[in-house]
Amino acid sequence: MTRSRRLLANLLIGFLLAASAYDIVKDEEHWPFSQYPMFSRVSESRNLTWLRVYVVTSDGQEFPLLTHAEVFPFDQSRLSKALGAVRTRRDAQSEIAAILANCLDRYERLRLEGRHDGPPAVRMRLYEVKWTLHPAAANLSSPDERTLVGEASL
Amino acid sequence: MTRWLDRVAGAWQRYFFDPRPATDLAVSRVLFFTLAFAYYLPQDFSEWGTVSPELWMPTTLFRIFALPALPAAVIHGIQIVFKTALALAAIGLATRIAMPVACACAFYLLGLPQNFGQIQHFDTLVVLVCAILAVSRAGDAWSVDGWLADRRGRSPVAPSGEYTWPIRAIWVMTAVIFFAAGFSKLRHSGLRWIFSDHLAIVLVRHQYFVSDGDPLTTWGPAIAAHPWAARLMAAIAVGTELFYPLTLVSARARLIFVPAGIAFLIGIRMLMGPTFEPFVMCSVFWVPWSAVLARVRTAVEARRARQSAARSVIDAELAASPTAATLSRAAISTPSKSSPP
Repeated sequence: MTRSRRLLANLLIGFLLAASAYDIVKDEEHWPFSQYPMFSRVSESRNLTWLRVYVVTSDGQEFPLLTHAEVFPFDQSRLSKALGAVRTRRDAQSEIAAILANCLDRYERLRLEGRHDGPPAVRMRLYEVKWTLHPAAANLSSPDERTLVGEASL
Repeated sequence: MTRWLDRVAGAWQRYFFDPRPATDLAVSRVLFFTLAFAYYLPQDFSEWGTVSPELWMPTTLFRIFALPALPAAVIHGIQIVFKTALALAAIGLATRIAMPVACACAFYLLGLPQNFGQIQHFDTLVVLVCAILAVSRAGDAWSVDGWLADRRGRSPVAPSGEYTWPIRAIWVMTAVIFFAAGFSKLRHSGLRWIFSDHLAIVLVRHQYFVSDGDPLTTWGPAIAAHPWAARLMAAIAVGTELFYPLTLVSARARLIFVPAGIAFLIGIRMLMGPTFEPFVMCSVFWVPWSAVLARVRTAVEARRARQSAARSVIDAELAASPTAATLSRAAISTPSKSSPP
């Protein structure tokens, strides 16, 4: 192994370690480095508040989007967190309307391409949904409270 | 002080650069890129190019390098290059180009979703492994490149530090990640993370479709119904994470904590949903493939020797009594419980 190759390997290992150590010590995150904080904060609340997207069919029925394919390329976790971040902005109402229009457009396009089995939608709504946790999640489709946050139509 | 520093530097150099045969790294490369190819082949990253710009919240990496969310057609092109590079790296064709290309594409494609509201950690180790392999000589053996070089008269691949440091660097990064996750839990919550109802509540919460993937089983609420079981699981989880770095220096610890880490990630997937499959793929670097292959080779040779000896006996019997020899031959070709091979 040549000296220059050994130096290159040492520099790479040193960089990976230093960047990881920085994030761990500073409790910060610089993807792909991280302090890996997932689930680290204890929450003993038995209430769950979540932002959930629903579609509305032409006859007015509402369906929550629960599968990955229906909210693709997002997933339930990332979509809710992203919308939560937008919700704190000054122009939240108009931005959420624009985001829902974009999501609805993609939802319908992917449905027509056969990439999910969701119902045909004419409208998309964002709700803040609250549950009191049930041991077997039996109240999943009957939350304690739903508050409309925004909506968009085709 | 200088002597102490010299000792540390010497230990570092021995740990990362003591010569090892090429097989461990090469077989790991084949398996890692094959698994990565199979995992990412059905995935479509191009839809990120159609997401509303209001949701663009760039990570530090994307901000520093001014990397944008490219149009869907361009992302589609990048993912074709990515998947091709993964396949080439797996078979070891143009490996010295394929691995850096796979690394560059992984940084962009796997980093892209992190700019849309939440950083998830399932792919981070894959990106780091790709970065390490990109500058490695992992394609020297068990590769089309190696086979072509052999045909051109290359001398046999000798043990080298080139085949040690990438594996050890991947071990170190895996251990750092596990340790960081355990440390975060203690830093933010202390022992309450173990001795409260936190994990039981998390297991129930994940039945409400709040994760990136759905739990593969409904066992979460069943475990949550027994607080002691949830607390025991929490203790095992934190223990596995905090003591994982022992794997770096102890072969015994590797036998315990590497399987425990894999079981931990599979457990998360089954009970809660988060998709840690990419992280599990990186476990192939922990297996001492040269020792495994040597054992397999020894077993095959021993079996051949036994069969050869049995044939000699049959031939001798054939010379003495043709009927008895036919029965012996049938017994060898169709082994039963009463006649072990």
